[in-house]
Amino acid sequence: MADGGASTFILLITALLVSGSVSAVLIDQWGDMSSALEENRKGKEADAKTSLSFAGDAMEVDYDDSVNPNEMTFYLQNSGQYVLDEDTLVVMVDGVSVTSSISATILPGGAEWTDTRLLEVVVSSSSWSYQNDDTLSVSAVVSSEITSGYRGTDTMNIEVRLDV
Amino acid sequence: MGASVGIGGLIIGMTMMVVFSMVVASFDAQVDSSLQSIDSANEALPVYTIDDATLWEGAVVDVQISSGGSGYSNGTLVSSTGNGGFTGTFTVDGSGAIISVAITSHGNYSSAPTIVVQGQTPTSSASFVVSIGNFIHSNITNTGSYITPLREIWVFSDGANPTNLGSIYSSGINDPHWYSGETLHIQWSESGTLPVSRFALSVKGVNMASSLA
Repeated sequence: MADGGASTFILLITALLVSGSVSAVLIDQWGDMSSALEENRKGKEADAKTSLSFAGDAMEVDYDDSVNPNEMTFYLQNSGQYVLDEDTLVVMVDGVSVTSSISATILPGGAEWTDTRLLEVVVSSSSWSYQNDDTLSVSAVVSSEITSGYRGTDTMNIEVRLDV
Repeated sequence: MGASVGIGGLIIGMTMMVVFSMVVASFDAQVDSSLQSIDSANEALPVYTIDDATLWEGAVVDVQISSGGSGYSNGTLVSSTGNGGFTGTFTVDGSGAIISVAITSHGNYSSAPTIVVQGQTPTSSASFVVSIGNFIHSNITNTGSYITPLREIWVFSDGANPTNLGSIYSSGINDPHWYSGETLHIQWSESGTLPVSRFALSVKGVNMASSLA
């Protein structure tokens, strides 16, 4: 009986140690998973609160063919909640990037592109030879300023008609 | 010994239940937090209509005081030529000289009208220099549920000359908003290239345009 009691006691202690170890591993794993979920959530929140939109009249996008290279002027609005970083702006016209020739001005004057401000974008290219009433595709990608350690990103695509 | 085994089993079971409840509570908190974050990002989109939009090409856009005269009291300005509908108000200093003018109705004229003081006999008459130009009038209605701060609204003429509505709409209220069902009459001087043919409105990524009558 004494041997039986000792072996039962050993089994009990073993079970306690195993359950304690399993608990520790589970808690540790859950901590990692929780951190991953939190990071994922913050990234998705940043994307959800970052929004870029065309502003103005898509039928009347100004195109100046009197200068070389020709220039196109349009306006983008911060329609999200996070401040956007105009330095990250990438513009494509008919699928071709014009990133190297972008001039961006925040309206009205201000240091930050907040949700009440517009960005006047002037892009140019020596390869353009558009005419009045030509239709083309304009795309833009922008990221937000870093908020809580994360940047959101949004894209905008629109068909516009040029007004020369 | 049997009791010890039972107690041991109870401890193990309790431990596992505590761990399980911690996991469930943490998971619930994560889901709630995520849903709140995503919900807060999804605001209602503005919905609105442009009821009408009119360009007045001969509106009085500026009245400068050439000579303030004397013997006036604060009063009203009208035009003595044309039937364009201009009205304004003025204030005077201690000698009755006109020192400031405010336009209350810009009117619409084919040529610059002569502006006079209404119904007063001064010691010395005042005179004014009048400039006419483009003035856009429009009625817009918020047909959605999104209450829009006017500072988030931009107006455009021919897709250019963006003007923030918060800077041109005078309601006497700080940081005014555009409420559901409300119609605003907006008007502003347009100094862009002539002729202006279209008017556009942009609110939080929602754009609408109309030809100018």
